[in-house]
Amino acid sequence: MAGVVVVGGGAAGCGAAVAAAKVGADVTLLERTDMLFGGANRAGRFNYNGEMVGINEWKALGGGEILEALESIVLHRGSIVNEEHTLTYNTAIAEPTVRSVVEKHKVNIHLEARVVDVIKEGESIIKKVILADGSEIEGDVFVDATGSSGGVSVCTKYGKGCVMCTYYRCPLFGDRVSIATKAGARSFYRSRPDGTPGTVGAAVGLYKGSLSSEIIAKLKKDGVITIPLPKELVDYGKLDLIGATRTREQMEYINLVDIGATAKCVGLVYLSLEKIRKLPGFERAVIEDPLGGGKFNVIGNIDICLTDSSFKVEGFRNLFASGNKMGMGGVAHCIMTGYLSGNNAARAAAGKDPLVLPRTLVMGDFIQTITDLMVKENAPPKGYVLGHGVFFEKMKANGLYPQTPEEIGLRVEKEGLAGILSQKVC
Amino acid sequence: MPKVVVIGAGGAGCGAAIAAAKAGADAVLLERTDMVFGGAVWAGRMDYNGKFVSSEECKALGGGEIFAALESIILHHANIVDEEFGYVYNCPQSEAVVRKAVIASGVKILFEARAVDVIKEGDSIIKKVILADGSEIEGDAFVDATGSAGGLANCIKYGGACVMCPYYRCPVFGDRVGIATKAGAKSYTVYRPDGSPGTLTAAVGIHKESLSPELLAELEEKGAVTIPLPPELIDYGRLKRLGAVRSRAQMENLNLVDNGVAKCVGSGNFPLHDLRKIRGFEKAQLAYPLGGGGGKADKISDIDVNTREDTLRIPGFKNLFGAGTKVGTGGVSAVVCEGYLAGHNATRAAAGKELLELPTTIALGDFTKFIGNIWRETNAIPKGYAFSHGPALERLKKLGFYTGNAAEIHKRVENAGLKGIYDQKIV
Repeated sequence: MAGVVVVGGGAAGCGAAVAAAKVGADVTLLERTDMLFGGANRAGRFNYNGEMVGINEWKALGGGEILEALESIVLHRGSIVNEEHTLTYNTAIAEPTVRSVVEKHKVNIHLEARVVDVIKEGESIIKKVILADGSEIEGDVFVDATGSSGGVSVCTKYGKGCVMCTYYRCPLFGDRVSIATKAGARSFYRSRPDGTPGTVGAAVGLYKGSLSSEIIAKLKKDGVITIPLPKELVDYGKLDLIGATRTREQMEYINLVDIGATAKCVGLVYLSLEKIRKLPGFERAVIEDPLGGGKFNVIGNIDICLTDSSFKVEGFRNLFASGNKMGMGGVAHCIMTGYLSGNNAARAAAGKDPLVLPRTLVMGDFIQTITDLMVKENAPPKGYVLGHGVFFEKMKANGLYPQTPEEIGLRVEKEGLAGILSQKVC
Repeated sequence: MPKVVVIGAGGAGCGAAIAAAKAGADAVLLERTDMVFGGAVWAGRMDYNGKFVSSEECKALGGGEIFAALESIILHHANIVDEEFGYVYNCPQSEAVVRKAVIASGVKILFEARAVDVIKEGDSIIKKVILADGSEIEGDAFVDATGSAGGLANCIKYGGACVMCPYYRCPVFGDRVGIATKAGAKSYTVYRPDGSPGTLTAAVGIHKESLSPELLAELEEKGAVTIPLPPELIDYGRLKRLGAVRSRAQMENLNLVDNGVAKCVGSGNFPLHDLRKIRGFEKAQLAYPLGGGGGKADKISDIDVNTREDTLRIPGFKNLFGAGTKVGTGGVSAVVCEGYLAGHNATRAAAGKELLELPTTIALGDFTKFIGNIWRETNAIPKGYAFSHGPALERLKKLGFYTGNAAEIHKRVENAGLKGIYDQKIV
């Protein structure tokens, strides 16, 4: 049985592991912490705007397991400014919910298994990965889903120190190490307007119990509260600092969303506790995520690799990458790209040709646009997401948004790709 | 106006700063993070067993501000196994209400002001503390309320790793530095049974929304839920490794308290996969510490403790006082009570007045002297003494101090001639 080793148990890694296992590969998933689903444990929001189209395509392609698991724990259906169709899942129980999907697919999950290095055969083949405890894991094909954030030293060097985010937890579990970079793949980063490498986390989570009882009640009922920011706190410059793509209008508000574990302020970047507390209902606010969120935020998009549109890493024969690691952002993007990387890893392990989604599909166009731009610009493109910005505008212009799930399913069927991600390859 | 500088704005430091301001000092409170109330922000449980006595005595002495703030955000009147008289405050709101009380008392708080060193005059007088940014803060008297945990290095060396607790937040704000130890005071450490330095965290916080709906409903209704642990998860050995004082029965159960998140008291520090074996915890997610205590690693305390006289002055110094976990005391009520005495006496020292020693006719006076005697006799940290459980509770009962009647306690303080003493201006 062909062995696929997925490094990193975040949203992309979980997607890759499930996708490879369901088409017949023997899959090992290596995760450095004690939890799967990584940063997605504190994301909560998906399916808004153009994401809805991509997600429905993905389900039609046969890659719906994790997305449907999140739909099973939807807390709210309210949307923030400039968004619609949003689903908010309960982040407090996302991890075990997703873990059970991964377990059901007979993936060998190794928790607290931190990969620190690789052993290659020649220049283009990965043979093994080495864990922090010195043990080695062999595989036929590897998926790098280690994200783009590196470790504490990245936040210290390019941010203002480790801000103690609740998902990376580097001080406790050790830094993320990218096997693609270790193996010698070119590493790219996005920069901020002042040239500093890396982008800044776009949200802070507040303890729900620290908000006024009126806000808690409204949040519980509606899921979302939009509060205009006082003029002096509006800062459009943050649009260029953050990793996520947001609209100008979203910067004019506190977009407060009940994601279960916390009340998440979407797009509100490192406002000091003192400033947050000047807002009505926030007089007693306490920041939970990241714990240093009043001082700064996490740094991302710092160690990105280049792949082709099958997600094979440039220069390697048996190494794939997905999610943040190849420049994607957002839970749905990471899950879906994870699936494709896992499916193609299984294909590579079985000696089969890779699956490349055609441009006639929104997801095919999206993936190829990004991988092409990355080659052209020699840097990860900024602002390409399904939910906002240029690609969303393009979807609308092409009449692909809005569409019903049925219309989307028909489009996938017409391409002969219905259920392709569920077909055994080995 | 004499100036009292309090270093560390946890429960003890807030009490000390308020007491100094009330006594007429120019009170400056230096805090290395962006929040006051330190570890107490995520404690929540107050006044159980003998802690009711200490809180009421402190109020009667005139030190009621912090207690009143916490009583304004009571979530539940609820108790776990082996406890009575307790209430639980709403942790997520505690920082803001305590901060307000500190500021209302006229204290000047400097946030993100991390003291890293001291400048002395001779051997026994502190002149200034130096902050991490190089600036200097002068004072006439100083209170070291920096706790006993030190910084990141201690958790890594003795606890397995930094577990990312939401109160210390060392990676963001920098390590705690003990000023008394910097000034040359002798530093003491508690050792665990296996000889390793420091004690372990006694509790973990769980995201309420990750509990089963049935358990969550029960918890929010009752405030406290007791769940018997499967025999393989019971570990009485924890009693000797913990910083807090707990009972055997508490080790046999998961004692879940609604403090705004959901807190497992005393016995919840399991690896996530063990915790999830318990009924209602199948999808549990830890809220704090992010490393989940006993799961992977644990937060270490009782590593840099200084002794004190019964006035809470640090031996060998004329104008340096200690309070709270820095001098070996644990628990919100106890450290706040001690903070008030230290701040009050720091003001007396700054003003050249005689220091206040609480008489043994009140429980706080008896306890302070009792603990002081153990310090002096053993030259080691008195461990296992808290008003809530164990020998100190037995002593309270034996001496007739133990009661749930507030009026009786206030009368006792009045009879000692100390009613409202912390309200009196010294200068």
